[in-house]
Amino acid sequence: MTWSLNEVTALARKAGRGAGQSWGLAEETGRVVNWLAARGVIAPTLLGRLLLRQDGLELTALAPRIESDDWVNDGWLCPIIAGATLSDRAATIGQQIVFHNLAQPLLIAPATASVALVRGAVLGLDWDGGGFVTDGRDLWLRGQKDHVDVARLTFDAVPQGAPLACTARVPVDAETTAILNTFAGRTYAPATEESRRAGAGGADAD
Amino acid sequence: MTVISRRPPEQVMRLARMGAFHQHRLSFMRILLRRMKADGWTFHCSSFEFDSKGVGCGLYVAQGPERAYSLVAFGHDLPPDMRSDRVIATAWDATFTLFDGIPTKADLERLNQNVPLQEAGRVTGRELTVSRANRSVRLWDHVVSRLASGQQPEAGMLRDVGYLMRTTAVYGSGKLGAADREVIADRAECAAPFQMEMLTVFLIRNFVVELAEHMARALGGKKAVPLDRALRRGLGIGNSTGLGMAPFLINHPVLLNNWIAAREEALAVVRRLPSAKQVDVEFFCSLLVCAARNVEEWRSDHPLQVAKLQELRRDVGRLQSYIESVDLTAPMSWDRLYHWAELTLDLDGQELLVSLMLEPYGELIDGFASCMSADEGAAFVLDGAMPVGQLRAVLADVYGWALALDWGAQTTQARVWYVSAEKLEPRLGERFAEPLADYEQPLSPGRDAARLYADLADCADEMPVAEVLLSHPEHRHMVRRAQIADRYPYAEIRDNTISAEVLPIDMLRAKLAFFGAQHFDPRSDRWVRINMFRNAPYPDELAGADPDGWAYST
Repeated sequence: MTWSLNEVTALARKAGRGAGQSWGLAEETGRVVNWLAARGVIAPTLLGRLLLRQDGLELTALAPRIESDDWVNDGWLCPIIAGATLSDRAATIGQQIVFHNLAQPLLIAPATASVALVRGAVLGLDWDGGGFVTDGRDLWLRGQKDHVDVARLTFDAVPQGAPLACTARVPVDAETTAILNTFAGRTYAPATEESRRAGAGGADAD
Repeated sequence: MTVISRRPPEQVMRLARMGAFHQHRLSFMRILLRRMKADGWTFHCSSFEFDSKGVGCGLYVAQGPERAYSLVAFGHDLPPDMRSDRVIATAWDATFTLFDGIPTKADLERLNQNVPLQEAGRVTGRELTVSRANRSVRLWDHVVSRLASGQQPEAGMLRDVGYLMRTTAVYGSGKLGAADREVIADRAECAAPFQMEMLTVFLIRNFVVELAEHMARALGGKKAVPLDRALRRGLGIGNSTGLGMAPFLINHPVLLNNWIAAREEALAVVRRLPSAKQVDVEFFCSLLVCAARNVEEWRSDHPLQVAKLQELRRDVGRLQSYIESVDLTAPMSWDRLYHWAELTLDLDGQELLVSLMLEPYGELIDGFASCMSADEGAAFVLDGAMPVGQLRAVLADVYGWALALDWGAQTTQARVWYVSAEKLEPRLGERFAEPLADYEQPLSPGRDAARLYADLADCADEMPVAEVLLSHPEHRHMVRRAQIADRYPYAEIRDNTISAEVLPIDMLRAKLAFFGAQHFDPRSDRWVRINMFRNAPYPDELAGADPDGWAYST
């Protein structure tokens, strides 16, 4: 069964929030999944894996500490937080950034694309045995990993072959749906008597 | 010479004023009918297979210059105890989808398995909307039994209810697996907002009358008569809209801006006219007479709306008296009329006048319809390089009203928007009476702006916002909003959306007026019934009818 992009975007946003992200960061999560899914990447699955891995952790501990060109922390880098930070610094970052211990590196591609657009450059992220290239619009992919020890951001990357084909539909498997729904469910308030009484409006018949 | 510009957002974007908006030339139903008439759309029912209880399937095709769209309508035999307008209902009198093109038998079989289930079913990228409707039991039974016996229904009863069925949801843009708006946004007929949703309702209205006539024939046989065409005209499609729609305006700031900006620019264009032609003045005056009658027909039992309606009726009278006393063909008369209204009329009267003033000038303003959609993705990316000093200035400018409030007072943030686990529907709860704060949805920009402003106090003016966000990720949502509001002046509602006094129906009315709805009838402070396409031409009448004049008819 395929989903629309708007559906997976909304679910990803809710799941991000349910996983403890601020609303603003959860919006980034929605956009990350939207951008990748529109290019044929099964992004909901990658997000599900990331959220499970990070479940229960303090998200601030997964944010990057920026030490010159090295982005590090004491555990691993959350690609959503690192991506938001990267995108926020699109105009000013240096050209030799190294991400250390980056989880789900493909999830940082949309932020890399934002930088590519701002800087008018073709950017690549390389890790041992794989990586991706983006000019801001298209995405060229060389493999996917759940975690990379070192990923280097490069400006003036050279894409090889054809970019991923764009699509408006996203296949989402039942396991991923269940994972994301579980996280999204944490944003829903348990019912109270008062809320039942007040309701959302609407009558039964006339 | 004074330059007449758009009204400022601090005047327009107040909830009380937004809750007084009326339909106008740039409302989405009217944009749709104008386009379909101008482009010579044709309509036909290609299949209608229903039993005597109204159970079955029908297919209505709307053929435009480049492509066709089909309403697939399913009728059901709904036990009375299951008839509910709540979004949580699980069965309806009728369910619908708008198919992109003409469905095959296989498509119809697939839709038959899914559309009647609504939220519990799935559709595909070939479907553009999913919708459902319930009968007005009172009117339905009356109309069917009268027609079956060869009589017409009572005109007064038709007028009082105004519709045979009311929709309880019209989903588009990717919901339940349907095509995303982005997929169809490049089509000329989909360029303005919500055009496929409006087309769905327009075709549903036609189907509903034909279903009632069919059931009357099944009941009365040869005695049965069709519904009188004039009576038919007066029936729209009802709609029951609850809280779920209120967050939409807050969640789509760029879109909201574009709607409001189009209407405000249209008003400014008319106010700038150096003089009005006699023919335009006469047209305006004739519509004012219609509007006065139309407003008389609105019915509501809600105390707030009853008071607003009384004032509106009084204001329409004042307006009629005033224009008899002035020469509207005199120089700058539209601008002077508008100024008079600001000083004399309540908000409902002022906004009705705005709608009426636009009417004679379709040639000048109808083109603004093309500016009312939004590429929201383009506005999403934050500018992390913005210096804190600039962000502070934006906050003071756009959210100055919020910075002045005492957010420590319970009444200031008495309410909390949340989604209930039980029903998955948006609700508005009492922050200090229920354990809801942890589940709060980001629908309180004023409060969030004040929090952000306070946390910026110790930051140097030249510090880039990116630095703030790394240590304060909780402000990311608000920084994005503020940057959007800086570029789009009408993006933000300039009122407290979580105060003890907030009336969600104000937000509902603003949105529904842009849809083109009429006859606002709030049933509480959080849900409203309206009527859509009432008095509009039916598909078989559109080619020979005025696509605009119906909006003030009675």
